[in-house]
Amino acid sequence: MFNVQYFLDALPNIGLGYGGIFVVTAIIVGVVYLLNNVPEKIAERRRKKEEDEDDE
Amino acid sequence: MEVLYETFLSLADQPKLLIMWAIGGLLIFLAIKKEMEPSLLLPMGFGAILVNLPESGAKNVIDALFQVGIEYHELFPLILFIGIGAMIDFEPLLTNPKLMFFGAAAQFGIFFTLGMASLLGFAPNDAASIAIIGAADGPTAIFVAQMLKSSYLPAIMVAAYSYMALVPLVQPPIIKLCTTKAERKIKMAYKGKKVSKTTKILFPIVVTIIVGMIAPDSVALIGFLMFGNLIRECGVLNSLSETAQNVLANLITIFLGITIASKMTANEFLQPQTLLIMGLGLVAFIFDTFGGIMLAKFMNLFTKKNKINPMIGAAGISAFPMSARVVHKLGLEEDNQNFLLMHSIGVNVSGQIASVIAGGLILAFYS
Repeated sequence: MFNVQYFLDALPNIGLGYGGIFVVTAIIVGVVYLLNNVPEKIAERRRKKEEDEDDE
Repeated sequence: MEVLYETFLSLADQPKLLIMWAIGGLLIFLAIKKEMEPSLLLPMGFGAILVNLPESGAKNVIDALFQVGIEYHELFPLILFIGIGAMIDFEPLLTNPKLMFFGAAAQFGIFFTLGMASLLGFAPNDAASIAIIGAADGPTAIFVAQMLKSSYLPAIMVAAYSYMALVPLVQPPIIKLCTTKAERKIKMAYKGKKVSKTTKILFPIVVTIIVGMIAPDSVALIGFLMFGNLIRECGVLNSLSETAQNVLANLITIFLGITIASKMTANEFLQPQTLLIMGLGLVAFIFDTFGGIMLAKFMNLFTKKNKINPMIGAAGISAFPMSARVVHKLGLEEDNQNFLLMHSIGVNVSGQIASVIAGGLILAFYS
């Protein structure tokens, strides 16, 4: 009933698979942070630039 | 009269058919009386009876549905994913993207079960198909099991959908076993940060590209899920979004349930391995819950204030939205001012994405 060879063959896939999910997740989380923050920062810089130009 | 006589003789020759009638009846009972995933268990139960009648004239029709909807290109689960994508609101996740890591952690059960199923002697493709029950997601489980040409598709389907319906019974004891009372009482403030419409529109596109580049076998799954979400979020296709969430999802669910029954013939379903698969499916769900909770507890080791309530890790299992509600309810039981719903919903929807990634990686390794 038990098949140790199948289990040993599966071990690399288990490690790579579970680790792989975290890697992909980290990439997606990074991109979402960029999507959330970059447009805001660009808008903020534009506002500052316009304020500086008005001051001048 | 002769036909009737021959039919009864066939029944006498194949008593296993009666067992399948009983199983079909049980699924129908669970669907109606216990309201366990009725949209799938009822068609599956009735379909099991249809295909196990002697000389059943329905077998050819249901087989044809199976060939078109599942065997050739896994159409039914993929089209259902459009509907599911249209139902999901990713905003709780987008306000706090770190929650996605809990969704990832809660796929632990898939890989633990892969090891167990392999050790128990299942061939690699079957072990992988059984493991994907832990994705707690019907379309993903059907898609992967069919792509890997597993011999145990009906058992895998019954296990996947039964345990998804049993999440309110399976998860609470595991959550209580893995957490202390003090941990369950941890309050988490929700800062409802506004997410821009641009972010909500770009998110499904970006996720599809990222996941598709890393795990090309998952493009169909992630693509159809995110297509449904894009229809929802774009704001210009409200009628299509409504159709996808309601009519399309219901239509495909009807076909999917009765089509799965094509493989629930007595010879295919009544194997000793079926019980083992049901047991492994339960193991997958248990260790999914365990994995999500453990990540939260691990992260708490490095935080002094703003601790994470470990229960939200359990919501990373892809059974949406039941798992999120279970966690929220447990939080209220410990402290009736502790509202974990927005956090647990965020984790729950991230589990949907993570389970598809897991499915794609499993396919990459085993197909």
